[in-house]
Amino acid sequence: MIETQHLQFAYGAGPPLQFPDVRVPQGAVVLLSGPSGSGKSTWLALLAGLVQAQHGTLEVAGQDLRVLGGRNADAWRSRNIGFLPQKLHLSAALTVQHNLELVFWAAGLPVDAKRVSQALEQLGVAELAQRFPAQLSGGQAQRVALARAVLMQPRLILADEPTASLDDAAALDAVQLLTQAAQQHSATLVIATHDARVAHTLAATTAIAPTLVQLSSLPQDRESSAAAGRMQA
Amino acid sequence: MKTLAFAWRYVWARPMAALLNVLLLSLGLGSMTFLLLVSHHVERAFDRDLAGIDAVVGAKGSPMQLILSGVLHLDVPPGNVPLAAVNALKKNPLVAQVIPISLGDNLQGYRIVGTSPDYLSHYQATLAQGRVWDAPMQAVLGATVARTLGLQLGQKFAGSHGMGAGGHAHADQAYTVVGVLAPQGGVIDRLIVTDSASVWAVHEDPHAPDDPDHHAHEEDREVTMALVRYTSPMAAVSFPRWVNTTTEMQAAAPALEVTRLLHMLGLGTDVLRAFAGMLLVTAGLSVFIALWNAVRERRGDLALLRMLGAPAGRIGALLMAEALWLALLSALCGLALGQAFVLGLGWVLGLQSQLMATGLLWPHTLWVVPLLAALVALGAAVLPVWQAYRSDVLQLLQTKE
Repeated sequence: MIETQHLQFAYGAGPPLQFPDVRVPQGAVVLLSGPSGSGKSTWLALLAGLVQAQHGTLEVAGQDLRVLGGRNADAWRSRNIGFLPQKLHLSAALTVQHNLELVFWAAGLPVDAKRVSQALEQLGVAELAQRFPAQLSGGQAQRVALARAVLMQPRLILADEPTASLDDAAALDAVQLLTQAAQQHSATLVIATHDARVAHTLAATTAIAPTLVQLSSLPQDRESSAAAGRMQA
Repeated sequence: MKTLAFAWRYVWARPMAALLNVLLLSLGLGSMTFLLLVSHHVERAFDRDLAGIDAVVGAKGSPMQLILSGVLHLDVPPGNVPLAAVNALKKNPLVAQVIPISLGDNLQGYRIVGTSPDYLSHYQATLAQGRVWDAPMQAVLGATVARTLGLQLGQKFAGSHGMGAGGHAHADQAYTVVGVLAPQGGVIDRLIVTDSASVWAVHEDPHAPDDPDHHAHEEDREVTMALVRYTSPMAAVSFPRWVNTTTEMQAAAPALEVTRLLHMLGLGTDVLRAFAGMLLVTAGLSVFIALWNAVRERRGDLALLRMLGAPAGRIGALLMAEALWLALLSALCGLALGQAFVLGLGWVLGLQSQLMATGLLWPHTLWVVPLLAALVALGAAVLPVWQAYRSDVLQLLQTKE
């Protein structure tokens, strides 16, 4: 599902970030951890085809991402990647329903109203369809954002610090929902986090052992952490 | 289509800003509409009333005054010329037709024009009721005159002296209404047309025993001016020169004088146009600031759309569509505002009887207004769209708030 080798990415003329080689099957759960600035978001962006690696190979869902560019990458991303950002970025101007319809618009596809209502129902927020984001509680908004992430039945769901601003109960809830949603769609799930509660919740509630990818803060330390990553994978 | 629908929702998510922008744009576009409509009205009135008149021959003085008084009936005439001199014009081979015009009296501000039936046929006037005069002191009323004064066929009225209402009345010399013209949308609608002899009859006092030339002879009679049509366009060069040098009269070319007049008016409208342009620039700035802020506020949302697979171009189109909605609403409001203002002004100043036709007009030049609206809005959107276009999605993902 995800296969990377000698992946490197540099911002402008800065020192390149080197990522450990990873190889995980479809349906796996990946926990991506590392201190701030270690390149967690960059790795997610590489997997999503938002940026191109300067070195190494990267294959996601059978697609070699080095040969995709521009609009092709956009189109591929809209069909294969679900995304749950830390800040949810639900459009304040639009109702919950329209926020989900926006996903179809972004993909350049006709709106499938049935799929919108199904996604909301599966996450237990169908009755909120006509509300605006400002009228939702934190937990409700999280569920709506998750519904948006799984709407296109993606093969890979990327979650960026999904529990960072949540209390224990909400964090537990969020991780459970996320893994359930991923399993329902047989999607691979990558959670970028430095929150230990995520690993604990996964261990306590699912049978699958997550693949750990550990990034380190300094570029020169990359070789050793890459080895560690391979061992854990 | 979906892009337009989402853009509409984003516009109205900030209703105060949207309303302010629509208001500002509408004011600028409304002023533009007003200017375009007024100049269209004026030019149309000139074109219509001057059509087919190659020259106006009258007393020496300002040529523009001659045109304004004799053709457009807006100004007072410069003086009279002998009828014999006007009749002599007919002998010139360059002249196809001469229509005499005698002014001097009015009925409640509507001018009484002594002329020949050629005047009616020149303007292709048709009778709605009655007939054309066949004797002096019979009058044919323009449509506006008949409507506003409520005069019927067979009714009698007396003119009063001068060009505007309020002169002393020629009470002893009454006109009889014999015909009413169909509305024509031209100067003739607000005239009372009669035979030249009627004007002579009113002004040559038959009861003055000491007056040696009461019952003046044909050769002593005067008219105010004559409308001349040429036999060939070549006459435009030689005929006015011939009149100006060999007679005591002057010849004025309506086309020339009106061009001069419009040029002078143009100086005034240029100032107004600059003012409207300023309003538009201000409105454009306001739209720019609104869109710029919208992009800043929604940077994360827009980045997320990129993450969901929206190409940068589609996001640009969304912002452009928001600007276009503002443009469309403002163009509609601006056009309505301008039209209403023209109608209101016409009504307040009573100009409808002078230059302005009634009703709404859509001259081709008015397409400039929606075009301008679109240009201003899209111009204001360019930088915000560019900002959204080149925004680094990755960087936004890393901004943890």
